[in-house]
Amino acid sequence: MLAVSGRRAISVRLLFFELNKSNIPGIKIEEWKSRLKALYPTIDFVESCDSQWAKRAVWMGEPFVLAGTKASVDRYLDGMDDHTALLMADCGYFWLLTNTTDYQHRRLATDRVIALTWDAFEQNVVRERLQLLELFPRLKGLSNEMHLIREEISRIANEPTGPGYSVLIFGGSGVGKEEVAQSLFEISDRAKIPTNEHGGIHPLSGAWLNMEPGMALTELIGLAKDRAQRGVAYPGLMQLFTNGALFVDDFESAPRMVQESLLRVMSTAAGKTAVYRKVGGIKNEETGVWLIFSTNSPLDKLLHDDRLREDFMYRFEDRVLMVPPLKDRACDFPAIARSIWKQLWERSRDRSRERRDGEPPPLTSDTLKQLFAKDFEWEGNVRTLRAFLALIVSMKRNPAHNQSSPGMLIDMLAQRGPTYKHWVRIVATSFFATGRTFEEQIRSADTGHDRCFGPSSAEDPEESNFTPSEREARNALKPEGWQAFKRLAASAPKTKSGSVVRASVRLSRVIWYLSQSDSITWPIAAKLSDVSPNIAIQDLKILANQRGPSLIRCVDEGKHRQSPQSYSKVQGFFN
Amino acid sequence: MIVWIVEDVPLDAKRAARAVVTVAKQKLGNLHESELKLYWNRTIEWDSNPRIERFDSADLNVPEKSVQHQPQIVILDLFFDSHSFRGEDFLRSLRQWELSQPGTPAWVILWSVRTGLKEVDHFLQEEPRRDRRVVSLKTKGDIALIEAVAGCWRSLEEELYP
Repeated sequence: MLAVSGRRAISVRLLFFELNKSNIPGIKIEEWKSRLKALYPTIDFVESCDSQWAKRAVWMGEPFVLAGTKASVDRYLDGMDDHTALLMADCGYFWLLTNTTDYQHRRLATDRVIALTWDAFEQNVVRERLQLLELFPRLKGLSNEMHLIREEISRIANEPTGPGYSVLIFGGSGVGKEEVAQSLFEISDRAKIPTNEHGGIHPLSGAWLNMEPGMALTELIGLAKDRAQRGVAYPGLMQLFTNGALFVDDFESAPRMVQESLLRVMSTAAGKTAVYRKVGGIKNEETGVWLIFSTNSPLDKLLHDDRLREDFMYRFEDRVLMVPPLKDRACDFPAIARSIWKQLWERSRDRSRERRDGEPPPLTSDTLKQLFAKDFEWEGNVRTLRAFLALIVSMKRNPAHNQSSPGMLIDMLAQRGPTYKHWVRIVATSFFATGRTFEEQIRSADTGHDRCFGPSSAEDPEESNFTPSEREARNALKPEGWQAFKRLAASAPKTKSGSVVRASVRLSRVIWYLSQSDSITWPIAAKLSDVSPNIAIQDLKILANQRGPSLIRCVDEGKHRQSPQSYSKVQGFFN
Repeated sequence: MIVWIVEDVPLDAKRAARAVVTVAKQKLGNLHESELKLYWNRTIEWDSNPRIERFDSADLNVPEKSVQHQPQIVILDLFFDSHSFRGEDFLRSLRQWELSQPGTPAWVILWSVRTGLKEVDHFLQEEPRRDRRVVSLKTKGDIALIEAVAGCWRSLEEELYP
């Protein structure tokens, strides 16, 4: 088992896997660890000698060390499955601690793997990376790409900030550009300036600025007192955040006039404040605002379409951050997924009335590997992953899915297709996503809806109180069919026991079933509502024997009139 | 894997045992005989020392001295002698006892006929909401039980390593 040393609140944890269970003469792991601890006192070691744990190391989403002799490390790396090997090759936060200075392995690129020896005591290599990781709590993920982004953010934040030092963050939708911008601001000196001293970071989108250009300009640079209606001036965002930053997301969506105003601010000489005039103003104003831009559009296309002035992009000089798509950052996957999972459970528990003392079901290493192996495109990047996990959490919170592990639910959703559209379509048409047959879905759809049980009347309930079955029946029927249905529901047999599904819900389930299939038999009707054959047959008789705009008809009226076995629907009654 | 079957009717207990063995064979193959431990409580009562017997399909009456084996899955019938609703108390006592035990709480599958009694329906509906490790089955059928046991088994497997 893993043992956490120390009782202090954990800041940075280092998983430490010893591949040689017994002590081998000459191995100085303990000495190596104690020197790292001396160098970096806030570190927490999480230690394990269990090979099963070690196999899952890279899926834990935390930095780790694999310590052992060359032979044991070889064995470990040779035994990795392909997905684990892919993550290891992409991981920027693991170290091999072994007995040779020139360790190499065919499954790991030489520029990625950092092999340390316990004789050399190069603990600084580990400490520097962990400190960098600790600096960016918002940025999850242990991929090498994310490590490079952290380094770049540190470099930019350590340079002067201000109007002449604008930054461009480039990356697809949902990759986390805003998190990068916030992180950049948080580690800069500007983060220390309080909001009441015109500090802080203010996010705004280019699309939002795409209002009436004069209005957008007023928002940005403010309105002078003598031009303002009723003499009320507006300082503008440039002044309100003169010691802070403005984060302009999708800046290319902003109107050209606004872009040019921003360009004017960006053109300020390094170290100077930008000079501008408010709308209608007669005196110069100064601002020290730091501009951080982001876009997900290809720059060359923006220039080609004349949506961006060419000189705009040169202003960023070397302050451009590229955030790759999630699919290209394999090793970010476990850490991001675990972080989202935790957030989603916290949020859902806040809203629910369930017991708060229980732990949420874990999203385990094996489950993560299983999800990763689905090889989804994650076309919306982290946002899509979040949506997927939100669906899993939603399903898991349904008591009908108590026995389904997160892994089973992932399988269920993945069966339906590889994209968000597939997953959501199932939720919309089947009330909640399942891997069950249509009959089973109908049968369990009303779980938790008190109204479907008990001796309540079969009269038309308020639409807001419909059970899912009733809602489906309502959608499946034409208006006249629904009117007929309400009359039928009133004449259906009442149930004696409180535990049996009541009439309008039973009939709704039959209609729902018929809306998706050509016919129904009484055993199916009985199964849909867990009722006896007699009640099922009576229900079908009621639906079949209607005169006027009949709802469903007997397949073979002459033969089965008195003892109906099977019914098919009248197409005209369904939408 | 340690499974308790809490059921007063011997025939139903055997059905439950068969369901568990079916799943165990799928999961463990030939190892199922050694790795699966089935225990049976036929009184659905929990006192200070509940009577738990080692379940053996050949001989149902091999008594164990005490509850020494913390269960991972419990199949719980709610009624003793078809009218005495003892399941809820048993579950509460089990959960209380588990607080003093080292492992995680067991998965509890509520496996009982639906009688329509209000308090029972309320229990069956609300308990899985309150306690995420309780599974309420709609019927006392074998297939539903096999599916539930398989689901709980997989959940336990996934919980082994974080």
